[in-house]
Amino acid sequence: MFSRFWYFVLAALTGIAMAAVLLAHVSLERRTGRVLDGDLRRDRTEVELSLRTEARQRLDSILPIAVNADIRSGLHAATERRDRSTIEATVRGALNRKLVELNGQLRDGHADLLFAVDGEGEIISQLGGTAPQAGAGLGAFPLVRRALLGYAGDDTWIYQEKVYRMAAMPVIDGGRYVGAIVHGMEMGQPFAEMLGRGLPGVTLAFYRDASILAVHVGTFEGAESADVHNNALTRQDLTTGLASALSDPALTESGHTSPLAAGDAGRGIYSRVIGSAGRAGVGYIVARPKETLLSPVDSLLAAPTADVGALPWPLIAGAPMVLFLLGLLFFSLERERPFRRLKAQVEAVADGSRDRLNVPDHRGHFRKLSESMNRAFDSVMTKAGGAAQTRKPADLEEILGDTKSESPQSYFGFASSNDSADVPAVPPAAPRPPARPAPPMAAPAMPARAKPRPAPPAPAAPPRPAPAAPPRPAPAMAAPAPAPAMAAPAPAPAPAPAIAAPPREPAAAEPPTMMASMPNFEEEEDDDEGATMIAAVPEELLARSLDQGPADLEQQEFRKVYDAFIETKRRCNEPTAGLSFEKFRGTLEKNRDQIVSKHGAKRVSFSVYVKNGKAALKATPHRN
Amino acid sequence: MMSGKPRPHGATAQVESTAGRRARAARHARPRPLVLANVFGSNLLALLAGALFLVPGMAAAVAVSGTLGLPESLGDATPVPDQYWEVRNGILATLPDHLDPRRELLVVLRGAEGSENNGCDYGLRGGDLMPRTMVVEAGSTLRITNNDATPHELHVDNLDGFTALSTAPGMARSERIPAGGPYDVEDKLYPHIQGSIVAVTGLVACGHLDAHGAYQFSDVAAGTYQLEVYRAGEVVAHQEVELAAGADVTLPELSVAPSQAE
Repeated sequence: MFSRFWYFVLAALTGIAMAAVLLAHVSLERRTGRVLDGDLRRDRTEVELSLRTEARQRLDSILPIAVNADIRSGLHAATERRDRSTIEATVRGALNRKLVELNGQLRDGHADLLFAVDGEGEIISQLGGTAPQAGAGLGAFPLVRRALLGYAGDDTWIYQEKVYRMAAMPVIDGGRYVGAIVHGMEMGQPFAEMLGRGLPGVTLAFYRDASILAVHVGTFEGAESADVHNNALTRQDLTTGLASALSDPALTESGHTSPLAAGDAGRGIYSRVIGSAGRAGVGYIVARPKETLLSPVDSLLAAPTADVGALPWPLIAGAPMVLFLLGLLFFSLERERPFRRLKAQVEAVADGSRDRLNVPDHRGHFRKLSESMNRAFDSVMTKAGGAAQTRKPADLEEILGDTKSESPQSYFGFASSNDSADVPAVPPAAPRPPARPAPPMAAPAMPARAKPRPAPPAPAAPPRPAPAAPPRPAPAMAAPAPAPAMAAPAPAPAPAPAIAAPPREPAAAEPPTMMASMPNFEEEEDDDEGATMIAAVPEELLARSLDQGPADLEQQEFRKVYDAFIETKRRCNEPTAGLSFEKFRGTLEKNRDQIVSKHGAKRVSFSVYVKNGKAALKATPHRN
Repeated sequence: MMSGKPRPHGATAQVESTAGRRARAARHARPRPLVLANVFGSNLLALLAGALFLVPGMAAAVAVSGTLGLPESLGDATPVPDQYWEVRNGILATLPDHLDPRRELLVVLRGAEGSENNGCDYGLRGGDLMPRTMVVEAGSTLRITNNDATPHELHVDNLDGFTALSTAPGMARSERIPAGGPYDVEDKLYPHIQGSIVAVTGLVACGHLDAHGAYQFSDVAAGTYQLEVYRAGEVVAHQEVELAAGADVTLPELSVAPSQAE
């Protein structure tokens, strides 16, 4: 019961622990996701601010170009020309050289694409990109158009298959607008790195339609390159997320999506860039890798040494050890000890020291097992020779042994006793034929000295299998005289006939006892093996016994049993020399005491009967 | 923003008249080298050339010019792009944004159905369509030349086949335009580029318009025509023109109404 409860407790604790770990894992993952989404929103705001700042810085940086005298004069001349189809090479050449010089002075802000356009928007000089065809212009681009009207601003263009962040500044000369400087910085890898420099841990990418143009992987200060490499989002991750982002209506309606999955490894926000190109499918991605939550096992394996050392090891090691020891204790109490007890009894049966298992010694399944084994013993014995018997009371013959040999090591015990294991094994009896024994002689019951307790009727022990030795002739077995003579002729007190108990299941081989003729008997309820029947003592016998002391009565009973035993032995032609009353009485007393103490019987009666042609004694405990 | 569905335009279908048939017959009889007339810059030379080398009795081509009475503003100013910054230069006052008539308006002459089409030049210049309204003979091919330094990807959503294909600098995009329209044409790369394509019958010629609204048709056969002014895919002004052979014509000013948005 304890071990079952313990198993349940352990199982419940294990289940609760697993549920707690999994729930904690899910909760942590969800919380990490929320934190990640919040970070991404802040990152997007940071990128927007960076783009805004960068645009303003570039407007300021191209101002020196727009106010340069050579630039102004060159554009003035280009705007004033009458023939719009041609432009003097000197003007174009001078502008080109000046643009190169001034662009070089911009250092980090230098243009990847730089135009000088006249008042009509025609390209007079260009740095970067493919050289324009004659007459090509930019005047209809809103950014340039607005610059020619006097405004400085920024935009994003797709120009010659590349994406540029653009800025334009009007050029004023002679009190009029004579053109504009248009500055473009490609939204490529350098631009991504420049913007992403201030965003640690953020992956910043630019895209056009479904293509990734540039990717910058932000790093944490002090982060190892291997960690960065392992945690970095790949282009494939970003492209996978981009495919779903482009179909997200929020991208068109609000200019950016909510945080979306960027592949399996991260999450990102997909935004349109500010400017014309934003409406043509150009945007940027701010993404971060997902914090991968390891499984509990992986967490243990990947735990840093410092973290492992910081754990409360006494608690971690002690608590399971205590639980383990408790489990062992419960297991031993409920399983090991009952099993050892059963094993000892089975071994006792195996080596012949006892006939059956004592069922009350066992509990639960062991009790059922012992019952089954007893039934199995009976069944085997029955099949082996029909000698299977219900358990018989202790046979003094087995205890006293052959009176010829006067066995000095005679001892006493009940095969049916619950404590039979404590009794030394009885030496094997002589081979006996399975002949029907003579009915036992009734003997007066012995008053008990110990406080009685309800003694269960023990099941009859099956007789031992008859050995192969030739059975004795059993003339006495067939002679019905001795047994009735033992009970009947006894003149006096003779309570024995009233109290001798037959086995619960009289078998053919069991001698009849006087209990069979005594209807008034009772059976011990706890004694599963209840072969020993406890009979009520007739009132007249009790009344007669009042005149004598218990010791005297007992001595008389012993004497009667002794006399009957000697008589029976003689009739069976057994030697009686050396079997003195004193020795016989001592053995009976010893046996009586054992039975009383182990069965809680008030008294014990002994009867004489013939078994296998030999005189035998039967001890029967009585409750009353 | 124009819708993508064809809208009825202001042009009235012309029933071919006797004069029209005569003019068409004359054009068919006349050879192609009108270029020669332009080279010499004289209708007399053209007439002489026609008389000397071609079929006698052919009607003489004439030049038609005129001026459009433009309103104070042609419509919405150039849209300000989505941008982080737009600041005044701080030195000189900014200028008002006047739309360019050359880009906003188109003047065409339409004759009877089947009139010979001199063809119109459409293109992309300066980063936008020039002009924004393109009128073509229904069932004919529209040709748009990219005069910019960057590719364009024009497309018409409700016109099969007119998808967003890249047109490199110096190259032309040609698409057959069925009857109907106007069709809204856009550029996938540059959202500020928005034009209209109108398919009509009897298209004869497209006029050359300058920044002040003066237009000119050259080499137009004598006959009766409808002069129509298009803006954003719609006829905003029109008048009937009777051209006599051998005499250039200067038409009275034709007022262009402000856009409905104004």
